[in-house]
Amino acid sequence: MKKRLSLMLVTLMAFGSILAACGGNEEAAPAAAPTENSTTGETGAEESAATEEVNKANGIIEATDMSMNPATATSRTDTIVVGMTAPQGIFNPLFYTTAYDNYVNQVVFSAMMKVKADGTYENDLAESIDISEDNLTYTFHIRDDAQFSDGTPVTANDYLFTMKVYMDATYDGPSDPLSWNIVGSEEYNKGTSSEIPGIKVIDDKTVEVTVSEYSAITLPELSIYVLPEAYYGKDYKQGDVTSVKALNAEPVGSGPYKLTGYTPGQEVNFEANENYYGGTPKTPKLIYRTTTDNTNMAMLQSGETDLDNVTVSEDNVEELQGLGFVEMHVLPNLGYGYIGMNNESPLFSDKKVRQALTYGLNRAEVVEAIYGPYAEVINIPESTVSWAYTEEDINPYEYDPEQAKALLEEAGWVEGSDGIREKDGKKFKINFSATADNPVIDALIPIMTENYRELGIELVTETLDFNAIMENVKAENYEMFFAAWGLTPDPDSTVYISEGAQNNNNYSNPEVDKLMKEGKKELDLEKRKAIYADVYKLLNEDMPAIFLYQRTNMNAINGRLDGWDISSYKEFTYSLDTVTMEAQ
Amino acid sequence: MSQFIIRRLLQMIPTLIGISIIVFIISQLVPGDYITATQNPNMTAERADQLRAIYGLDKPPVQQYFVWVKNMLTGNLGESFQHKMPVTEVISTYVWNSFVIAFVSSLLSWIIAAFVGVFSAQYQYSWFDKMVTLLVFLCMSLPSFFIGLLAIKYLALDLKLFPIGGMTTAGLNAGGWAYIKDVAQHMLLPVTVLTVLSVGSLTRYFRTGMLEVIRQDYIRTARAKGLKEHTVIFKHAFRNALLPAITLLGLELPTLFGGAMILEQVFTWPGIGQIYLASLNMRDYPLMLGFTMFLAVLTLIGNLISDILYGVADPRIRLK
Amino acid sequence: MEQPLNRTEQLQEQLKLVKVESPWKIAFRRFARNKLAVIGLTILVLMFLLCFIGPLFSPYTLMQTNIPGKNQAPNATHWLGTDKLGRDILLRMMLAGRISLTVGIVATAIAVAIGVTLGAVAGFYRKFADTLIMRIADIFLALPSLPILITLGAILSDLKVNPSQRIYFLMLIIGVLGWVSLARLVRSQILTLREQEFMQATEALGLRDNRKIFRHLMPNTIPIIIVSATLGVAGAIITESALSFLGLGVVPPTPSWGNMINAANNLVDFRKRPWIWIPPGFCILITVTAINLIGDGLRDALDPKMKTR
Repeated sequence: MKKRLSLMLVTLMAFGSILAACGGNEEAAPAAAPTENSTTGETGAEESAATEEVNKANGIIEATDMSMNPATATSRTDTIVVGMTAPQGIFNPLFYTTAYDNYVNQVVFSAMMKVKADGTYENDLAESIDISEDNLTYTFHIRDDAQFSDGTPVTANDYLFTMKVYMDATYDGPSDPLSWNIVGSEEYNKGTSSEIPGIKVIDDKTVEVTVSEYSAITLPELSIYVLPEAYYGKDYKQGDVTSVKALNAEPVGSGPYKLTGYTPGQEVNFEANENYYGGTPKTPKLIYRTTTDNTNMAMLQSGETDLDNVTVSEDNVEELQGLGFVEMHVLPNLGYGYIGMNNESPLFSDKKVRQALTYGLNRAEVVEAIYGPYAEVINIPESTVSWAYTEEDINPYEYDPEQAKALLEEAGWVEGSDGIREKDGKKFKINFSATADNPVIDALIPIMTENYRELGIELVTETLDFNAIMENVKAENYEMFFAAWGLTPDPDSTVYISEGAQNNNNYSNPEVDKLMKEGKKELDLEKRKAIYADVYKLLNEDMPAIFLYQRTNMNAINGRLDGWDISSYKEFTYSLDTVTMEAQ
Repeated sequence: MSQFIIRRLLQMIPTLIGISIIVFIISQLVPGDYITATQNPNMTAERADQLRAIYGLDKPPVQQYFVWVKNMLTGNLGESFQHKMPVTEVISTYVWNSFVIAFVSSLLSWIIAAFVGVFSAQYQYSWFDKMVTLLVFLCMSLPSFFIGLLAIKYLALDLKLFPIGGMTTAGLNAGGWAYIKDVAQHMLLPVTVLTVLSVGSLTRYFRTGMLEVIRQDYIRTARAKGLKEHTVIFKHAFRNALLPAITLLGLELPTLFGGAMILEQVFTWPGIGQIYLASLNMRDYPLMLGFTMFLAVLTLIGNLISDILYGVADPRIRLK
Repeated sequence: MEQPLNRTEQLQEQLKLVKVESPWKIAFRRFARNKLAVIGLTILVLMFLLCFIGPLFSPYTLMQTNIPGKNQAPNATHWLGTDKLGRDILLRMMLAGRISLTVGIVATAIAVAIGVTLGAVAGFYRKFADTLIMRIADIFLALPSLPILITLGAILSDLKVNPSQRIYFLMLIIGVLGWVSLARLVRSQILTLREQEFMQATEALGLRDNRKIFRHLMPNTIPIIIVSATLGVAGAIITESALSFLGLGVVPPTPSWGNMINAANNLVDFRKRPWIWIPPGFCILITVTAINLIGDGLRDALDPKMKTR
């Protein structure tokens, strides 16, 4: 019994990887954007990790003493070993479901465009991209020297083939290709046509794509990773992608590395792709090795891995600093934690109540308790590194119980004889469900319970399986819950629009709906910025959910590797082919 | 005897049907499905419907059940949503890794438990007995992940006796003996910890079983006859102390293949336990149901074996 | 058939009257004389007192957090130090004991009650009863507990059962899921015992079935029950913390020994802050050891084959 039941403990650990998986969305980034990302506030490593200086830096913490590097690492001169949660063996950019599979895809395949550190895109497989006046036609000119790792050239036909797999009726990957609105894709999906007229192969290296409707994210959506038709298309027939999926474990692509071996649950081996158009990678061998949260620091310490994603906490940073040879890249996570509320419930339908609940919760204390300096309280549902992020006219909702009480009074909730507020004879009692596997709830629940009791609100808390909470939310059978969202680089989202598929708060504001629609249609970045600034102002005022925190992620890297260009948007995988190894 | 076995095998059929129905109902009751579990922030309602149709989740549950059972009878457990390959392939990829450490550690725990249990009983309330008892409870007082971490910290990190985790050295490109040696080295620590965890309770059962038998009249008679002590213990007493052990042995069969979820995680061992857990979290029903049925069959076989062995250990028990 | 049966019963009753001491009294005397068993009982009683009365004397409260004073080593104001939210570990340890002791003992009692009864019935009657009970046991063993628990957690949430009362369901669930192995163990013992000479004697005496089972067969299975129960208490205490994640156990910040140990889930806490995990671990150890000592004492006291010491 013990063995079988205690497995639940692992839910906690396992969930980390699932949440990470949401971040692995390949979709959507703006075509062009200014840079206002906060990178590299250099920090003297002697300073304690907890000091204010590091606090706002969110950047690199340098290695201090390379002489402490263990021989296991220094003697491995031709190989980079990256530690990560085990990928699932879906090494195909169309079908992967976890961020770790995507790490493999990012080095084995290449796409028309690739992300830059600031979240904008640059051409990669495409030499140039022409966009028509009406924004409906996109012409990709593929590089002449682009080859797959087997030496065959990347052609427009390969692009067409890849699109056909996307549009296939049995395609079950994470993307929603029909929403790209390519002309004729619907017919291909239904099987009424065997071609997609919206994709025209002009010549070997030129392909023209026409969409029936455009949005700000159309270009990144169309800039797909390209699969070689000769390899993947041998047995493909319209209406059955099984033969393509059968090759998941043996990918062939046009990226800097080629996969040479995969042992499920253990490691993925790569060798440099000599045919890579971006130049042969500097390090001839690359290994992705499975590690877990429990031991990833130990593996770095012993030199068995060169890079790993380590949970950011004061303890861990201090520990890694103590090793001396580890460089840390601390990056804001693309996502945020929030307390969702059913905006249609009589408890929360008044925005004054929602504001009061925000004022009355000491969010800073919660964040400080769990993450120390490595997370921030947020007031809008957007990452601080996004171009759409704004603090102008945004109410910070500093902890202010008096203000909260005043707002509750205004909303008609008055204190009853037992100290609990009442309105229309109904007590202010909130049923709150929290996903138990998030470390934040350890601090959130006691602080929130106390804070709200002070306001005269009774909080009844339960901890529940994540899917169980979401089921209740979908069924609109909930009052308040705690969860977290992942964010895509583009601010367009369906979370806060009335008819949105992910509108977990039952929130509806026609003005927000209208602005979100405009923002999606607008291609000029400055105009988009203004539109989303308005959206966030409204959301900040309405507080459809209590926005709680944005945490950070950390890549801990052995200092022997130099030349990283990592940001929240541009993952370490994009630097693997160019980093240099320090001569020992 | 053979009649008994045949009857029991026949009984398995309704039992398995019962299990399959209950398990399927549970899978329907569990909140959420694979589509909601992926928590894709850009998933539109239309796309979710498309996916449900592709996976057959839009069909009525009764129809889904019969499709599943029909496929199962032909040896097809369906395709895992998460892994995008046949469930049987997923299971066979990972299950043997789990089996290797489970088998070795079971073997070790049974041997150790038998000896320690017997001596502990023979010298009841001696220092040896007391120390063993205390150690057993110490190991039971801490969760297994904790003991795993403890072992990693002291044995792997500080003393460097074992590798920290994984099943092979990264980048090892060896076959044959070199490969086996490498795996064996990586196995040592997980096997040690698994053994420490399971040997405790087994020791208690062996000790109690022996204590009971030692007090019986025929043992006194055997001693009175002037037989050597270890002849008395191992020839006469031990066999009769085996009954509880046989029961536990039968229960052990599914755990050999079930994987040790927590320790696999701690030691980064690529076993089936974590894969199964992930299938639950992601509501990957084909994998979850398929693996559950696989374990169910093993459970039934294990219990059948222990029922047969009762008769072997104690001929007085007539199999009917 | 009625007549002789009643007569033997009467005879037995008369025999009892003649006896100076009942077997229970002998057992009690033997138990009281077993030093280790008495020590075990004392420890367990002290543990209960500490956990149920101790918190009343603590200057701290359950909901109180003190972020600036987090992770303090044991000192004069916090005798056992503080955890990562600055909460007093001693208070949490005592409060946790209320949950863990209750869960451990009640859940095990449920599992033992079900397991022993069903195992004994199956082993004694064999045939249809055995087949039915053992096939049900097979099904229980084969069912995946995690999805069932997730579902139950969701159902309790749907029914808006007060989270602070879900702990009772938790005990029931751990108990109901935990009976199978004990039932199989007891059954196997009964299978062999019922073929032994003394059972032929009870047959000859014409005793009623429930008397045969409960007075003559069951006492012989007590040792195995005791082992199973002591192991079960430790298991239940640790299992509880795992179930909390599914909305079945205690809700944070309510502590239990299991979730207090789980809080130290990394190597850093493990090395730098032993005061976080040693107290709850020590409590589980002490409790389990005490229960085991009592169990051993009970076994010896109840063993008919033991000579009165």
